[in-house]
Amino acid sequence: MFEDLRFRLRALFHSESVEQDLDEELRYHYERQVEHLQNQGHMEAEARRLARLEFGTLDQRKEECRDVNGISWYETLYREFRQSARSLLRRPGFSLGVVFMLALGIGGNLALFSVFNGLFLKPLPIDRPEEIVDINTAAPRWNLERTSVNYFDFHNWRSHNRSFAAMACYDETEANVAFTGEPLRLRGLQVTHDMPQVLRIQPALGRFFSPDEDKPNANRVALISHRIWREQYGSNPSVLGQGIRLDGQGFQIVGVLPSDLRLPIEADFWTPLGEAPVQRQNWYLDTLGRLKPEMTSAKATEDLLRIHKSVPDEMSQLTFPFTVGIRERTFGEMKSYSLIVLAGVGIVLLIACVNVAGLMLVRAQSRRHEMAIRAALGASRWQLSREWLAEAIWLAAAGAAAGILLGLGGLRLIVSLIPDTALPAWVSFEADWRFALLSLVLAATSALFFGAFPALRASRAALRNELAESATRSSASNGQRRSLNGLVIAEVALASVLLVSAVFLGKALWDLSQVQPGFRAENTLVYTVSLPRSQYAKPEQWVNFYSALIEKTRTLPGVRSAAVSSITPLSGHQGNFYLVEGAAPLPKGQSDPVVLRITASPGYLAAAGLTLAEGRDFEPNEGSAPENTTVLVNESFARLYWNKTSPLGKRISQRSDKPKWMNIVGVVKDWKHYGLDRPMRPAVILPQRAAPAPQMSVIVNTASDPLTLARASRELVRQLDSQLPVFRLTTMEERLSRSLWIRRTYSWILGLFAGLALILAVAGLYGVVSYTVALREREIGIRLALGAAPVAIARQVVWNGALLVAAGLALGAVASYFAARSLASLLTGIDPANFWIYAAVGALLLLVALAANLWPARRAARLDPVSIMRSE
Amino acid sequence: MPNPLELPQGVLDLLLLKTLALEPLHGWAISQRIQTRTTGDVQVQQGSLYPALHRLERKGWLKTEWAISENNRRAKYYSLTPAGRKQLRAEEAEWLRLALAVSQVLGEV
Repeated sequence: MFEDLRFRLRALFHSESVEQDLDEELRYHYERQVEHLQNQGHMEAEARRLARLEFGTLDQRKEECRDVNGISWYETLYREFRQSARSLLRRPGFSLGVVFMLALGIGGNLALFSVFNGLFLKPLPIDRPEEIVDINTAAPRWNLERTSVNYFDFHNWRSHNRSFAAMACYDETEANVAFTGEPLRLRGLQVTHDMPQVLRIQPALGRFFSPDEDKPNANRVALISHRIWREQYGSNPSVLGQGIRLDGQGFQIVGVLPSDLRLPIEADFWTPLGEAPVQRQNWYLDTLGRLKPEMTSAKATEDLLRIHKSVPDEMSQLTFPFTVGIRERTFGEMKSYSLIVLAGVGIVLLIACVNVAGLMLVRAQSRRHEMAIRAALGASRWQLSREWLAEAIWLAAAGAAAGILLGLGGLRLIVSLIPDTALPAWVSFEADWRFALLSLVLAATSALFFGAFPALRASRAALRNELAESATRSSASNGQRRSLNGLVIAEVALASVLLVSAVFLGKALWDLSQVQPGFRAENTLVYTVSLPRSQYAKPEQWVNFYSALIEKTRTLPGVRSAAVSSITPLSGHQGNFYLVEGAAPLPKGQSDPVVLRITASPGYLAAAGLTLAEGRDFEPNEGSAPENTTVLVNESFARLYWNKTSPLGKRISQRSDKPKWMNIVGVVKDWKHYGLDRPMRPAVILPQRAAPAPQMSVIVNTASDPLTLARASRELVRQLDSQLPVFRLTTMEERLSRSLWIRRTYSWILGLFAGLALILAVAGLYGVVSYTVALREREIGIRLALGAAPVAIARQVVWNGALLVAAGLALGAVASYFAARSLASLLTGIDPANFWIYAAVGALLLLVALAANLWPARRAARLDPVSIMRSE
Repeated sequence: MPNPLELPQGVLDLLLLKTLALEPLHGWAISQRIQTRTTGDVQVQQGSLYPALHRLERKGWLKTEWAISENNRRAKYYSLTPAGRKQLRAEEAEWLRLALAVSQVLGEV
């Protein structure tokens, strides 16, 4: 079989050399025979005559040999494909149109699938990634889905669980590091010593931490990342044992992390966490576990709950450990958006296929006569269908090829829309085997989908005696028209679903962008500075440093106001519990809400653009007197405890056995601290002097473009301390726009595809209506000849098209409503009962569709009856 | 000399394989060889020699190679492949069995 194939393939692709071989072989035989006869004593001419008599003609001999090579199924197939390729190339308009539509559909799907693949499907870059889970605790009482993990709990779980091969926790951290040159702010991790077992990694150099080094007050040791080793130490192995100062504290380097390590975050250094399981106050750790083989995430959760609930204290009853996959934890929120967009792109591909199917049907119709003749001459159903399938396969292959290019380009475009640090380092969007597989599946299914229609028709034609029918050039058969009309209706319906969804999303995004953030976005610069405890041990030093920085900043030209704050809007959460003096004890079972706690310098409200609802802002130096501390609360806080009465003059304290009461001097209007689409929590703002913090963000309100002050600000910090890096420098505008990037990105993508769907659907409608007109030329000609008004003809054509669109819209409206309902269940800000959106989309589609009908209608009205009748 | 024998179906293949079992030959030499070996009783028809060779090549029993022939010209040489050798053994055995069986029957009469 294999020999045979090789032989035939050679015959197929090197037919010239095969022919030459044959010629030479047979010629040799003839000449040799002549020679032989001459040797037997014949004269040359006589020898030639005898030889020819015996041998016959060369051509005859060749033909016999060619017969042996024969025609096999793959040669037939090859011919079939070559034939259909030629026929497609003869109609470049049709072919290019189809390829273009398919490329759009397939390319869009591939691009979006790659994003989905990168976010949700690709295995993590780690050994046996399916065993890794994230462990966290939930506190339903405080409405906290994730409290982060307390070290005591972690220690307890680690000691007693039966589900995990290894378990480790970590805390993301940052540190100022001064190598040679400008000081750097490096990302790092504090990890427990068992992290390497969880990740199953080996150090590139040196060693990991020992359990003894992972204890309070142990020797300070660190691992550095491969990148830092390369860039700062020239990959020199003598780095082991050297010192490194992280935030001014000396650490001894004991190892280098593996170069391809991206988990749990891409960190530039690791230090031991060094916690002791004594306190149950701080919930700040992230935890990873590696499940034992055969263990499931659900069983592991049960195991953890069993351990957790056996601790007899209140906290253990209020919190619930749970495990979840890393992807799920990181992108869980994005999954619904991604699925919406994928569904939208899928619809575009479907429309493209429907369009192509329509075009193929039209082509099948125009070749009906030929098909009928061939059927009459004995071509089998399979033979007739095969041609159409070959064409479909060509088109699908070309469409897929173009689609892959388009998809890769689109993917790059989408990736460029994603902010740099928005995704973890382990996410990669590169095309992999799933991409290849999907390309193949899409190409194959679309080929089947639009190839099947004409193929079925062609084979049916073989059964019926269409020869007689087509001889009279009758109009398109009813079945044909029905299937075309069905396709158009489906197209319009699909397009309307996509348009309605896109408009809903667009409107939600627009509404969101109109939400007042409650803080100033424009002309506001923010950056963060962190004071290392080694040089800045005392809280007074912190206050002095930041006061000096604010003073200097205020003297810069173009600065309207400046202040510092521990947390600026859209930059995260730091929570605490508060007591309210004289407040009725909360009903049993209801715990205090978590309160956002901010420490800020006087003037922060003005610098950040927050507004006072009542009372006053801090005065300069406020908070210095410990016996008379003041505090600001936000409206949510005020509403929670005093409902409608004013909280001014009331006292609150951080939850403690010995409360330190603080006077409320002002109420700040709620601002969108967590994002424009997120609810605000109760918040308190403490004066910096009363609650100093070593890390603060500087917020500067400028008269013009805030980024022009970036260099001057860095210079100010350098003047105060040349070892301090400035980090997270950005504008509030940038931060606000970044907070919406997911919504914006998918709204744009879906909008783009909805536009494509509209164009494709209209193109499909145009094609079908023109084609119907072409088929009815004879009938129209007769009617014109009988005195029908051209306007009436045109009106009828338009009317027919409009009916199709109306049917599509009716179907689409129902489907759109369900689509909008499912959108509303996934996203906020969508009202599926918004009638106007349906009406607007319907009107738009109808209008565009009518415009698409006008051209064929005009053509119908201008037909010349005489020439039509003559051509009969 | 009596008329050359008509070869039954399949026998030509056997003769070709057998002839090539000794050494690679080109088409003309093959037909000469068969003719001499059978003292002229079997004359390979020109119309069937090359198609048969090509068919055997296609089946993977023969392989070909261009080489310089005894009269210093380029000629296409056929030789047996291992598969061809196996086939030859099988066909040979079968033919002998058949021949024996046939002659037994004929002898009885």
